[in-house]
Amino acid sequence: MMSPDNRIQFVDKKGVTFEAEECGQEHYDALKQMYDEFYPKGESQGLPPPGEHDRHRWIERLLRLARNFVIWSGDKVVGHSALIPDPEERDGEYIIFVSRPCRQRGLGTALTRMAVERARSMGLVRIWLTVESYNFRAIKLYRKTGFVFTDQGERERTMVLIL
Amino acid sequence: MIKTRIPPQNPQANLREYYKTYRTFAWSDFEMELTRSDSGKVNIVNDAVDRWAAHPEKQKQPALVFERGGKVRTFTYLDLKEQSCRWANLLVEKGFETGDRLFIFLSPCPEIYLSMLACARLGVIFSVIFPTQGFDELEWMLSNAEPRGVLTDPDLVERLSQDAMKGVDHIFLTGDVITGQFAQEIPLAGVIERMPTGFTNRAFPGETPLFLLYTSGSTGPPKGVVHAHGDMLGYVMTARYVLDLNSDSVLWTDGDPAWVTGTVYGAFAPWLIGATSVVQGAPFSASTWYRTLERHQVSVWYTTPATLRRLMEAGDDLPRRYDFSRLRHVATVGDTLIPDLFFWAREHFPRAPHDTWWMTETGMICIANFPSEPIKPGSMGKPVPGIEAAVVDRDGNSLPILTLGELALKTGWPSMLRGIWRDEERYADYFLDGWFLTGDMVIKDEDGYYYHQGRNDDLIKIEQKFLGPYEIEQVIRLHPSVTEAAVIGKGASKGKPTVKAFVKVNPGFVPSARLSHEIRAFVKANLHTDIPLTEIEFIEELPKTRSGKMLRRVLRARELGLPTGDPSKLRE
Repeated sequence: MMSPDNRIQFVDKKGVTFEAEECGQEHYDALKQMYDEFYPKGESQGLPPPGEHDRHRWIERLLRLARNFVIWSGDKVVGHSALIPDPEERDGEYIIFVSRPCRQRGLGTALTRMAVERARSMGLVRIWLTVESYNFRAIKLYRKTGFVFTDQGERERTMVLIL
Repeated sequence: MIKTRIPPQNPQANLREYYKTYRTFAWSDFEMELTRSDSGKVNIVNDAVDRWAAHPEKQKQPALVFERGGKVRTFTYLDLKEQSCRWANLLVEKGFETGDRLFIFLSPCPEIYLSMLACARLGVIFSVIFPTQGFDELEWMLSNAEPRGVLTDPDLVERLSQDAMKGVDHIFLTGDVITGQFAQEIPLAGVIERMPTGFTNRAFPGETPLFLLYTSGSTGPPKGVVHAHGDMLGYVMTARYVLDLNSDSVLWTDGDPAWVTGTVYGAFAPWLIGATSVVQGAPFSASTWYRTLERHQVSVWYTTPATLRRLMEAGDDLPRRYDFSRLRHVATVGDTLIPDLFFWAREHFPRAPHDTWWMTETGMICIANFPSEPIKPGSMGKPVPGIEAAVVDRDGNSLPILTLGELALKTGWPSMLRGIWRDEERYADYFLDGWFLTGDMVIKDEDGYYYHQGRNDDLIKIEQKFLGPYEIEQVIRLHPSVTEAAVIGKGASKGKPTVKAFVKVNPGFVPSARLSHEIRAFVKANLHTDIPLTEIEFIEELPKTRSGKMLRRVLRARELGLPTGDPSKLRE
């Protein structure tokens, strides 16, 4: 687990500096704040959960089950991704959320690359995700990082990255 | 594809040779018709009103015929000029400047149109709001647009949120009553009449915003779609080629001005041609609609399939009692004009209806059936001159004919939206590699006709808005008994799509028919009375991935008895 001293710094498209790191239980409050302020809730296949109690339980679950990665802007988390591994299948499900004001600035790419590197180090053979078929912005990010479609679904589709 | 062809309804229409015109079309041909200053700047009102008002004969022609409750108010082009100048002078007196916003939040009345023109004269961006707009959405719009003023009437003032109105300088009230709810109320009775009837229009680059119209998508808050003065090029072309308007035409567009069809084709488009625009402010009744066509000798009627359906349901006896002899062109917009409605309308009106397709974002009709071309019942028609259309897959690749895909339009037509107000991200989402993605699923046949297949299975059209599962689920979740909900489209019942909800209840609540009824009533009361939520199934757990992402496709597959996909991907 990285300490604040081990955070990776990067500069986004607008020249603003962010810090990225893998995170753990100690970042629960920061994640809670990000998702409490996230707008709109529930838009992405029901996530982040609109109900406060469900949302906090969801964060706890992700911190317990997944490898989590965050991007800081000062002392606030503005981006979060999680990789939920399935050791039996040797794959992992990937999700990502970036606060609205910080989108289109390379944060999604940075988070996804961190997750992909972690997946490789864990010996996973693939990462998969689901995305709504008209979420062109998200699809563009996923395709840029190597994900491809595996189905022709009407509403939600599955994409996979072979490692 | 569809083999039935209805012969051209008017071979002598303005657009006589579709293919030749389409191939040789240039927007510059229409630019020459419009007024520009020496610097190339424009103002839509110069061409829509003032040039006709300056003509000794034309100035006496009715420009706006407004009827409500049987009473008719007629405004000639000269009246329209003078009255809208009065309103423009009022705005200047109250400190409005180019780029400021004015919300027009009124029940149907001529003041809507006069204030639209006034705003255009000085470059104030107007936003017409439906008088039935919900409180929460209106509050959001006010916070988003931060208008300098709101024009409304005393009955609607209570819909304005106190918080959102803090930054609004003026609340103009029609009539002479102050409600006292806001300190900045200004009753307008007697005020407009004192204003001068002359005004020097400001001239702008064509990209200068003209209006801002909010439209709901399937997710997120309403989108403030921005259109510009330069859009008028598209208005003129489509008015002439699609609606077949001439300067002596009497056009009735039966759409609210808060809907883009009413803003464009109920006002600016007919006026740019020098035609007469009829506006019926009364609520729908079949007899009122037939009487309007007869009384005002409407020659071109731009209506909706929903209206035709209501007329059809009112019975075949009624239309026979009215004189539609002046009606020479009928066009529709809004929903697919299904063959049943098409043939009913063809039987009861002098001309067959011509379906058209466009959206708030396109700013003008983009696909149409033309009076000089055969009609294929059920088809949206063909691209209008100046529009290049394609059917693309989800990766943006062009698809062959008779293949379902998304309708895309090559960017750059003059009426294309200029932005989403204060949301560059959502604006950027519309475009991919030089194409505007409409979100509508279509098929193109071997003759170049397009057929609408809906946006996707889950989107429901209510009035002029599309509502998606997310919006309906949000409201269901507000019911105290509900923990979570998922909504899917269930396809059409008697021609109308319906939705089904899967609901997980809170501890302490027992699923029952009564609870199902309560939830459905709750949704209708809190979202819209026309939401076709016909079925609720109570469920222990919604299908989700391990991350918690809900999979509506699993619910839909189960509903259809189809395979639900890889179960290992579902959460235990």
